[in-house]
Formats: sequence, structure tokens, C-alpha cells
Amino acid sequence: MSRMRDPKILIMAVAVALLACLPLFVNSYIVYIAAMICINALMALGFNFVIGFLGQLVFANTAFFGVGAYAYSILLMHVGLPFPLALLGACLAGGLIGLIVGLPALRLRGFELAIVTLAFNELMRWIYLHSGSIGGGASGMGLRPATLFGYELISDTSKYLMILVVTVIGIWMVSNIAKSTAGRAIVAVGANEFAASALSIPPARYNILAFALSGFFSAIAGALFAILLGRVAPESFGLNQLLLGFAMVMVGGLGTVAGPVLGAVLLTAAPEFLRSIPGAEEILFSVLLIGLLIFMPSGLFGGLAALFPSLRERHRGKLS
Amino acid sequence: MTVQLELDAVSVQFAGLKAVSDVSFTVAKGEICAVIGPNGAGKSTLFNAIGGYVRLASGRVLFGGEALNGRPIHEIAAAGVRRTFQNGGLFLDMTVIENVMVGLHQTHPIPLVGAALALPSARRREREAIEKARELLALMGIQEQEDVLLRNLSSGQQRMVEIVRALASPAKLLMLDEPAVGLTSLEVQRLDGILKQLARSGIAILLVEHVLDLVMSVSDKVVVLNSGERLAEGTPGEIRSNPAVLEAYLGHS
Amino acid sequence: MLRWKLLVASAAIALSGVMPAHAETGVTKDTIKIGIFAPLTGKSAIFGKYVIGVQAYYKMINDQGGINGRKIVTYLEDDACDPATAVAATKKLVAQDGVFMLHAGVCTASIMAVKDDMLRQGVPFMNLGAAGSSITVPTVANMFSPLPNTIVVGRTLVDFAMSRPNTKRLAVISHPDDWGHSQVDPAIELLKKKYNLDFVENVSMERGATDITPQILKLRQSKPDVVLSFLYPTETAIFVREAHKYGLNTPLLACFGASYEDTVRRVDNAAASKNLYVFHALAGAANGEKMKKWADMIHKYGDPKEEIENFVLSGIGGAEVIVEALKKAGPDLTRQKFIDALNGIKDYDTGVLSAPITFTPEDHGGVKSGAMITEVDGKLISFATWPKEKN
Repeated sequence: MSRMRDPKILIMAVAVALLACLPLFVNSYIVYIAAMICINALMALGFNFVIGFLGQLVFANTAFFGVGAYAYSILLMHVGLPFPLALLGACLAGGLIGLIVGLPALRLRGFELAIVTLAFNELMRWIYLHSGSIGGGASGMGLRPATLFGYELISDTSKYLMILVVTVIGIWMVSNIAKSTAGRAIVAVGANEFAASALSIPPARYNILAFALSGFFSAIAGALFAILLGRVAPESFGLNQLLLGFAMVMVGGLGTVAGPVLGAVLLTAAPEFLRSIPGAEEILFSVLLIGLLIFMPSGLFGGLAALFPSLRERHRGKLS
Repeated sequence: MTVQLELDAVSVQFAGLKAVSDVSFTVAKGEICAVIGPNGAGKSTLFNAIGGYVRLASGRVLFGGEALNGRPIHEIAAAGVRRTFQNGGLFLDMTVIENVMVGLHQTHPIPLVGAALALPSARRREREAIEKARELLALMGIQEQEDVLLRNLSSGQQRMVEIVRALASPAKLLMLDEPAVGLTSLEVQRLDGILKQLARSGIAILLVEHVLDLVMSVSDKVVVLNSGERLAEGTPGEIRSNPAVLEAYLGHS
Repeated sequence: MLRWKLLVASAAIALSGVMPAHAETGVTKDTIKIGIFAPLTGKSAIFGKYVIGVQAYYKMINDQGGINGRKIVTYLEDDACDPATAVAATKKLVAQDGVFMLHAGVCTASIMAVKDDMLRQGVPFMNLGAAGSSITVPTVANMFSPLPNTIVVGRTLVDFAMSRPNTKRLAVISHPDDWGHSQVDPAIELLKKKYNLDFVENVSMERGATDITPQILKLRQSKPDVVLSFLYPTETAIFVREAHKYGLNTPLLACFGASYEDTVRRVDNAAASKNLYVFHALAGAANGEKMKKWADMIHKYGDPKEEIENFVLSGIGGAEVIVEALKKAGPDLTRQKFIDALNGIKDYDTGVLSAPITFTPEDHGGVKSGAMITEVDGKLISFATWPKEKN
């Protein structure tokens, strides 16, 4: 009962309700951008599991994102699964790839890990490019619309609403995990592996779990991305996307839940506002990233939490 | 008194150099044993060897009769070996209660899927973990600061939290690596009392310490290391007047 | 009762003010809105220059009085040659700016990403500068292309090479991506079907590669008479330079991805570019007489210092047929009428493209042939078949 009266939950509920009504007030371009923000928020949250909670520099986020997009597409178009199952399959595929990447990552650290995961990203792109008739190769593949309860999601509004719901659930799940035993264990292992081991936490298990969770959530974002665009193509999963994901987490606030979401909102919306000034987006990007890394390394949300300590995120359930 | 920890001719080597050489002693249940010696005597290495952080070159470490050497750190911890660190063992960006809850990992596990979906069973378990953590903090008298970031506490308070955390899940052996560092004399007194209380409850305690007042006051047994070897062993009184010990310390000062 | 009548009357008055005189999107009493997207940033930004000639042309038309009393207003967005960005740009142009039609796209992937949505919304779409054949093949009601596509380019290079006397051995280098394949595959097919030959060597070069020594050596080893290259500008220049360095001295035929002047400038070695021929969709060399009136137009209605080369000119043909179709569709302008007018364009000589444009309801690929441009006695001349002047 006390959960219901918690002001934070009320604010969230109102915000989500307002977001759901967005299509009533704006044109489909804005709705499309809103859907993109949701997708980027999930992708950034997925990425945050490894670079934020676990604290390892890894560049495999876009690979997981791409796996989600392609897995969804292949399951939908070639295996003929209905949309919800294809989506589920995509996240499981992402989780699996995350797990697979997490294994060699146990032996590598720092610079080497960064380079190897970067190479992995490029490997995945090569696979997409050479995916022939399965993945459509360089020109990618078009997707039939997702069907929910017999209703085809074709318009931007219908896609947006579905994406909004999935994103809200995703953010909720990530938040729950951050406050659970697993979340605490991942953060502990990331903060000090030996101290965590001394508390009987097996570091390897939680290392891999962080990667698997990163893969899982990034893949959901990838599948939603494929649904929104109605197609997948290798161009969408290259270096640009990778840096964008990285920037979203860093700018928003590493190691938090609100941070990556904030970063996603900012770095998806701002380039659209700056559309009319070509090149402005790149300047904004660089200035923001460099400026924050120097003056506010904990990102925008970190800065906010420093000012308003009650905003600071906890790694535990409610204290009654 | 039953033996909890037994070191049997333990040697540890680093790049051909013997950091610990043929050291044997025991710690019984409820016994407080201090390991002292000049800098570089191999005290921390010994700790690390017991905990599984470094490999033994030869010898055995027996815990409750079973061999520990070769097992991974977290398994040794799960068997009941707990420790605090000289520095860096704390999760400074977590709050006090969160740190303790990490310590409850072994006894209060919550399945991932249940937690992610906020199932009632998972929520209940989280509440139980929080309750337990609060109980533990209250035992040490630091419950008021449960929601404070560890970074914002004094060294002494941080040390308290570290001990609470280490004991959150049942420990049979508690190893403390220089616990008095950075503590005020009042806090050292407090630590003294807490250690004796813990020993009375049956936990074997092994501590490495330089603050000799604490060592003399709290220990049942003192082991002196010098250059990796066991130089002497005895009660605090015996050690204090042992000429070889005095020479080792004076010679190295 | 009176109150109701007043209410209805005032509602009618209010609504009549709100409703535009013309119900068609993007058309007002005195404007027609045309949306443009092209890569203005990113690694394909050089292709953004297609916009320059197009914008100048529309300005010129406006200066001359417009179309049926309406002036063209253009809305320009950057797609950075990225499908997701193209989708966002298009949504903005259509949903927010409310354009009548799109004259857009230099990267085929971007166009393919928005194609389905544009078809669904019935927005007329004229390709700005992309070469992919999938834009108009298969034919779709609203998609038109006024430029030779990759199939035409691939075939033209083969035909041109084979028009050289005593030529039997053709070799080819290309990017292994869809863009490369879409030119090489028709070339292979034509070579086989029309000339009963195969390429003696077929090597690939990744985009962004700088060292292609193995490929050059393989090509050289195959002793070709002519080498065809289907590469982007940077890679074309690298290829020409490296071919010369390793003594691969055959004529080199380059495709639509590069412009002659740009390539020569990048290669920066007269001896190396001596034997270079580049596919040319225009009626003449960019700095030649035939293009002078367009150069003047661009200098008048655009940047007076604009350097005139292929990319800035190549979009103009499309702008011409758009204006022509808008005129034919008449003052009561709707999207369907515009599309019908486009479908009636037959043998339209743009004066800028090497071949006339024809659209039919069944075929929206307007241009079916091209030429090759090369240097003869210091002048750039385009040829439909192998010039006698060059061996």
C-alpha cells in the first residue's frame, strides 16, 4: 500500500500516461523520434550493465543491438514466428551472444578487452554484410509489419505505443535488477573483484551475467529498432551507433538507471533539433562528451544526484 | 579448544623469492591470534595465502580439518573464511546498508528472474535481507547511518561497516588486515571490545596488526614473522619479553 | 433555434478559414513544397553536391515566374547516407514540413528505407542521384528515377570496352557490397550474353582499403586488354594510382561513383590518369561548352564561385522533368495528376543528360544509356563508343 503513495511512482505513472498520449498532440515525425528515444534508452541501459555496473570498457554494445535486430528479422521473416515470439527469440539470442562474449572477456581487461570487443563488433558487421539470402547482405532485408492481437503495427503511432510499453517494462526490469542481489553482486565485482570474492561472490559468474544482461536488453532495443524502421541493414550497426551508445551512457550518467535514459533522450532529440545546421550535431556531440568528461565525469544524472541527494539511486529495495 | 585453522609448513614464493617460508601455527575456535612482524615480513602474503589470493608453493592450509589450498577465493569464503582488507576492500559508492547486503549474498540469495519481475517472493526476500542487514548494523551500533554513502564516513566507521559486512553471513574465521589503521584511540577501544565479543561467540580471529597496544590487549596468542619465517609464538606477555623479537624489530627500525 | 443556426454558421465560417483552398498536401495558392534529402555530412558528403544544381534550377524557375502561378519552396535535410537518418529526415519533411513530393536520395539504402512508407502515403518520389536499380525495379507507382542506374552503368562499361578494337580480355575490380554487385552482375551477364565472354579476372576491394597491391598484381597477371572498376571516388583514385605504380597500364574504365575531374585531382599524377575513362551521364564534360549554360545558372542562382563538376550538374535533369510534369498537371495540382504527368514524359531532352528521359506507367527508369568521358588533347570529351583518337 505504501508503494502506491510513493510520489516517485506517481510521477512515473503520470509521465508514462502523458507519453502514451503524445501522438494526439504531435505529428508522426515527432512520434517517430519519441520511439527512437525509447529504443536508444533501452540500448543505453543494456550497454550500462557492462560499462556502468560492471565497470569494464567494452565496445560490444552495438554488436548485441545488431544481433537483436537481425535475430528478430530472421525469426520473423524466415522462421515465420509471430511478432511476440520473434521478439522473445531476439532477446534470448542477445543474451546468448552476451554470454559468449563474456567468456573470453574474463581473461582480458582494460585496453585489450576494449580492442577485442571492438573487433567483435566489426566481425558482426562483416557477418551482416555477407549474410546473403538469410540476412539480406549489404542491402539488408525488409520486414513485414508486426502483428499484435490481429492488429498490424504499420503507423508510427501504433509502433510507438508498442515500443513505449516494451521500453517502460524494460526500464522497470533493469531498475529491479539494479536493486537485487544480482545487481549488487555485479556492482561489487566491478568495484573490487577481490572484495566481492571475499564475500563468497563468484566473480566469473557475475561478470558473465553482466554481459548476458547487456546482450539481452541491447537485443530488445535492436529488435524494436528493426520493427520501427521496417528493415535491417548493416549500415545501422557500425561505428556511429557504437559511439552514440557510448556517449549516451557517459553523458547521461554511468552506472545508474536514469543516466542512460537521460543520455538517450538528450542525444536522440538534440541532433533532430539541430537538423537544419549540418555539422552542428557533431560539434555538440564532441563538446558535450569532452566537457562532461572533464567537468562532470559522473554524467548529467550524476551531477543532478550530487545536487539533489534524494535522487541518488539505490541498490536495494525500499527501506520502510 | 578445537582447532579451526591450521597452517602446516606453508611456503609462498614470488619470482624465486620465498615471501613466506615454512610457517606453521594454529588458531582455535574462539581464539584471537595476532600475526606481527617488521615490514616485509610476509604477514599480508600469509593472509593472502590462507584466503586463496596467492598460491602456496608448499605446505597446507587446513580449515576445520579440510584442505583449503588451491580452491578459488569465493569458495574459501563460502566455507566460512572472512576477511577485511588493508584498504580498498570497501564499496565506497554504495551505502552502508548496501555494503552489508552484499555480505548477505551467501545467505540471502534472490533469484534473478524473480527480482527482475518484482515477484512477491523476491520482494519478500529483499525485505528480509534489509531487515537482517539492519539487525547486524544495530549490533554494532551504526544503524543510523544505513543510507549514507560509505565514501562519506570516517575510516573508523568504514572499518566497522567492513567488519559487519564480513560477518553478515556466518563466519568461522575472521581475518583482519591491519584493522586499526586510521582509527582514533576511542575507535580502537571499541574494536577491542567487538573482537573479544566475537571471539566469545566462537569465531576464530586472525589479525595482522602494527598497533601493538591493540595486539597485546586483545590477543590470546601472538605469532611473530620475520623475513617470511616464524620467529616466535606465544602469549602476548611472552612475546613482549622475547629477545629475538625485540632484536628483529629494533634491527629493522 | 436561432442559437443553433448561429453556432453552425460560425462553425462554418471558422472551418472555411481553417481549411486550405487546395486540399493537396504541400500545395498552397502560391507555393509548391518540395522536400530534398541528401548526404550533407558523413563519409558520403561529397555526393551532397547533387543538391546544388537542383536548388539553382528551382530558383531559376521561380525567377521566371514559377509554375502556374506557384513558386517552388524547397526543404533540405541531411540523411548522412544512413537509412535511419533518412527515415527521420523523410518523416520530418512529410509529417512536419508537409511537402508535396520528394526529390531526394543519393544513397540507395536511404531511399530503400523510406520507399515503403512513401508508397503507403502516396508521396511522389523522384530519385535525386542514387544509382541503385532497386529504386525502380520492380516498378512502383510513386518512385521515379531520372538517372542511369547500376544496371545501365555496368552494361555501358562493358559495351564501351568491347567497342575498342581487338578487345577480348576484360578484367574487373569492385566493392564487394550491394552497390558493387549491382553493377558487376549486369556487366558479367551482358559480357556473357552479348559477347560470349567472361571476365579474365574479378577482384574486390573493401571500402576504406588503402593497400590493394595483391589485387593489382592479380589483375596484372591476368593480362587484360581493359580493366573495369566499380569503386567509390576515394578508392577509384587509389586504384588508378596503384595500377600505374605497378605497371598495370591498360585503359581503366571507372563507373558512376567517381567523377573524372575529382579522380584526376585525387590521383595527382598525369601519367597515371592518361588512360582513364569515367562513366558520364551528362551530355558533355562539366567544364565544356554544352554545360556552360548550366554553369552560368548555378553561378547566378547559387554560389558564384561554385566549382562546376559532375555531381553539381547531375541532379538537374530530374528537376527539369519535375517542373515539366508540374506544369502539365495544371493549376489544379494533385499528387496523382503530377504522377500521371510524369508517366507521360517521353524522350524529354534535358540538355544536361547524355540521353533523353522517358517515363511510362510500366517503367520509371528514365534513362537507359550513358557515355564515357576521357581527355583528348587536353580537353574532356564524352564518347558513346571507343574514340578513334585513343588507340
